[in-house]
Amino acid sequence: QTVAVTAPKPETHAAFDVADCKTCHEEAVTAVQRTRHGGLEQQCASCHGPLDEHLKSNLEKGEPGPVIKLSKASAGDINKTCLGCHEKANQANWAGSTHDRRKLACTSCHSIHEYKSDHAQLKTARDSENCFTCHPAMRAKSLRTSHHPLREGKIECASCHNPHDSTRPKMIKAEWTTELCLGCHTEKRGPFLWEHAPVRENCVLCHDPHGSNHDKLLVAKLPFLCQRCHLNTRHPGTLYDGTNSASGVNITNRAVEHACKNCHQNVHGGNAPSGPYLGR
Amino acid sequence: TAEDFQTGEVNLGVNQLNVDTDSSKFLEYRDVPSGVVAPYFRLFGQKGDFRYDFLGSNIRQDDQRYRVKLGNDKIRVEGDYNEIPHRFGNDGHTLLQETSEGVWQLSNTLQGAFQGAITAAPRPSVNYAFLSKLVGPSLDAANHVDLKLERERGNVAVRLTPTKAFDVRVTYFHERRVGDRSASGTSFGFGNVVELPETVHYVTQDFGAEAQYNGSWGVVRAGLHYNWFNNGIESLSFDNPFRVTDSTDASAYTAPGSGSIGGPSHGLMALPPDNKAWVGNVGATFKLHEPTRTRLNVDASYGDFTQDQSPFIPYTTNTAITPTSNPAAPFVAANPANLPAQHLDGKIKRTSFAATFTSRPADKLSVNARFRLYETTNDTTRLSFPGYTRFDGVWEAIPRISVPYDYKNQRFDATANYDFGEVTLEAGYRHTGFDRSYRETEKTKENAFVAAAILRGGSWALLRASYEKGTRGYEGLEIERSEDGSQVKPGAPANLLAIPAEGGGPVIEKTYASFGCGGSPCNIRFDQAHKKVDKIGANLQLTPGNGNATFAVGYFRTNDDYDQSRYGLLSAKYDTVTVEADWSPGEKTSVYAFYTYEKQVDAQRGRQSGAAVSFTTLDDWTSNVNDKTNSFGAGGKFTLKPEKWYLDLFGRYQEVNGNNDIASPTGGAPELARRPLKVGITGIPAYDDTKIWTLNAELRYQFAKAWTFGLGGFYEEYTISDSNSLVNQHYVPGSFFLVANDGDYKAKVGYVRVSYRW
Repeated sequence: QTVAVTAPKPETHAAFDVADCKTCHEEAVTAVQRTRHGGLEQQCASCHGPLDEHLKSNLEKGEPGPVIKLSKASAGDINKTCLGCHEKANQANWAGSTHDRRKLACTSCHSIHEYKSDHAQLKTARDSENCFTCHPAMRAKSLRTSHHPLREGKIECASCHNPHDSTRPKMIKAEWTTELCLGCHTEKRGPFLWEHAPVRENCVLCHDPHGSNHDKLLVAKLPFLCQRCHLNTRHPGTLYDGTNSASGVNITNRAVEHACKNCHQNVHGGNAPSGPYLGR
Repeated sequence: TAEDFQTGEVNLGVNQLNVDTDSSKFLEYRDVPSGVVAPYFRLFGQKGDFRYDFLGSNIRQDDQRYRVKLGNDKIRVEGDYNEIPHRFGNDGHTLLQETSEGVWQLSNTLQGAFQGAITAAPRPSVNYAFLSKLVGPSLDAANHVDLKLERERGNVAVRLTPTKAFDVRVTYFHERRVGDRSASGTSFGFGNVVELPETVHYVTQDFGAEAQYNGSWGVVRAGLHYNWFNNGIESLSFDNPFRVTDSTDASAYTAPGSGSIGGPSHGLMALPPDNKAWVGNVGATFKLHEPTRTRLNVDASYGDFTQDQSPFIPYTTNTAITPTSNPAAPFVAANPANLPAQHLDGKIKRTSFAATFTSRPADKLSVNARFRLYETTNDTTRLSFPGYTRFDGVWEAIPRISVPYDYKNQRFDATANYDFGEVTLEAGYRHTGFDRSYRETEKTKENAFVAAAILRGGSWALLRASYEKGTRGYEGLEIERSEDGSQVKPGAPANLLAIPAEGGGPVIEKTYASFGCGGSPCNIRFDQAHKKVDKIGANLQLTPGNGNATFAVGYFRTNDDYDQSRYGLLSAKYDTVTVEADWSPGEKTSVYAFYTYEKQVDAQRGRQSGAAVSFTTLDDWTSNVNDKTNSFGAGGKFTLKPEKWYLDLFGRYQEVNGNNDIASPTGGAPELARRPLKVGITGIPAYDDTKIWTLNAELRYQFAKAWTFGLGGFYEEYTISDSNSLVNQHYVPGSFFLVANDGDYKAKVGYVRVSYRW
């Protein structure tokens, strides 16, 4: 029997012992006790509301009495229960976030009793498996040949995104995309003597952080990517087609291996006095 | 407090790895050694109110990781040490050796021999065939290098929680990056690219303190971080295979060839300079009215980024570039004293402010609004240079000035959603504005309308869909400004995307007329050009019957249409469809499978000009990239016999078929340039086509309550067809390339595991 999640947290000390719950729910209680939830003052009642009736009916009639079953509750009710304690730190701005507005519940990703991860009590061993449920395109991109070490388990979706946030675009964990990337690629922070304007502005103008089949997570292959902006006289605007590629009849160092970067290495900005063209 | 407990797991085993090529790709970000391995251990427990959690994975491997969490409710310590290898390619060939960190040389004898042979040869014969024959024998005996970088990342956080409401966190981060990656850019000009490993020796550190106070009214927080980057090597020095003595001439940057055999004996490249950053933030989330869950969040942050320590390298290493031998040079270019400054006084201030409001004024109605401002102010002192040396070959008397780009981004969005029983509808508006300095547009503004719907069918069906339609425009266009770049006196527009519509004189007006786009400019760079944006997303999840099975269908599309542009990027479309199912009929079995199809279509137009901008559309060329990707995956976990036999199966396949269709009119410069080669305009079918197969099976037998024996296998096959990548050609026209192998492989891993749990 399910009771709507309206009961406020009981103030008095629990009138039961968690061992009573273990009688029927051994695995669930053991799992909770291995987490910090195990130390909650009200123990099971913190989330499931008053349990006296539940236990009393079980003892007297052999049939469990009323209890708040969060697995049947609405996303709003589940979140209200969890945010009662967790509306701070990473979750301070859950309300109004895209995930909140799309009616995700805390238990869409986290599990109190049947968690599989070694941190954050996620329903899956790694957070990306959770995210891929609604973002399958990101799973496909993470399989691309040029990728961050997500599938190797070296970073996670939460390394760059805070899925609980409502204050920043795409829930990134920085004030701006570029600052997020500079967290790990600090050598590109500068400022530099010779700057490259789109690089200073936004890394995703040229890179797809989720994965790409082109070198260095680029959104397009060189030299075509550079020619989206640089159609100068002489070599920049020149067409480099299959004829000039590695298997072509007229190989040129402007189209093979690193193409434009064969000479313009410091494309992220450079400090050499003779580097106004971002070479050297 | 909860009961005391202690659990743990130790996992040991033996691997046997077999990879059929020396490609680095299989081990790009991981380490799979043959022999004894310790993939995992964990000790996790609680004693009174003290909890401890020690975790280790891939013990003593290049991809090892150790995590620790200790503490009680008053003080908690968390530590994480994570090594991430990044292997770029194996067995690259180079004539040079690293004689000391960041210094790549070949013997003066060999340099001298090459220079002598070139000097002795009749100038017209100094061509690819001659040079290839000259360097061939040395390349056959070349130095072999593996390009690999190792990131060693350490994090420590101490969290003090004196009371339930207040906590303070002090963090320290240290990352060392050591190794080599492909330098690219170590070049002596159009005729002499000398690709080398770039020696990397970076250390990044961050010291931070954050505090947070939680009250019934909300949360207030503040934080301060000092982050600093040091590069152990400030420049990369590399010998010019074809010169043992410095020399210069007007065409030295095209050497060696019929135009010149001059140039420097070695080159110098500035590596990323040291830099520092202070970042502070304050913020608060106020619970204004609990019954309506009304929240106001305000965040302000200030950042100060500086780069003012690393000394500039000189204009050049070429001691021959002096006023006497290179009249254009105003001074001895190799003397650092002639630089206008000895280091940059680089300063960027960054401020950001964000306010978010959310409320449920009525039970079924939720309203949200966000404003965010992010502004960078680049106070870096502008430095003027009378000119520069081109690839250490010759002085170019083109005055340059550094350009301190900065920008401001303002974003506002508001949404309202209403629950109509099982259906929730959302409508919203989003505005994004950019102000930029030193660019061809002063402002760009994007306005978009957003709609979303959530449809619930009882507990067995859930559809989430969203649609976004927006348009971006620009203001304050001065298109020729894009030509400025770092030119003190911008010359005639050399960039097709920098030609003003009017007032440029007959040539420019004729060029503009040939664009065929009427009055409005159609040659603005895509990061500022007029753009129409469409985004559609839908995800249907079905959980029929008893909920053991879930089916999901997802569709997602983004379409950036640069509708007013005729040159540069014209459009970028991405479509993806996914179907997915998982089924757990009981405790003993759970299986899943997914298929995702993706299609990326990018259209681009360019124009090939000679020394001056061409004004004929015959010289135009178009590139239409069409990437199709198919990804399959399936897996299952089977309990063959409870508490005895377990089987895990897992398979994944992805095929990316990229194709770049290229076209250019007959009689245009591109087509005419190919006639002597007896080829026409050629598309690029091998546009990073890849296939990757991964199959994994593991059978486990629990021979005692705490003990499990596992037997497993892992097969992965990868192929890539990449039009840019050379194969076994370490010297091609005008270039030495490492050609380090990160290509195809077939990898087989067999392993046994013994796991003890308590």
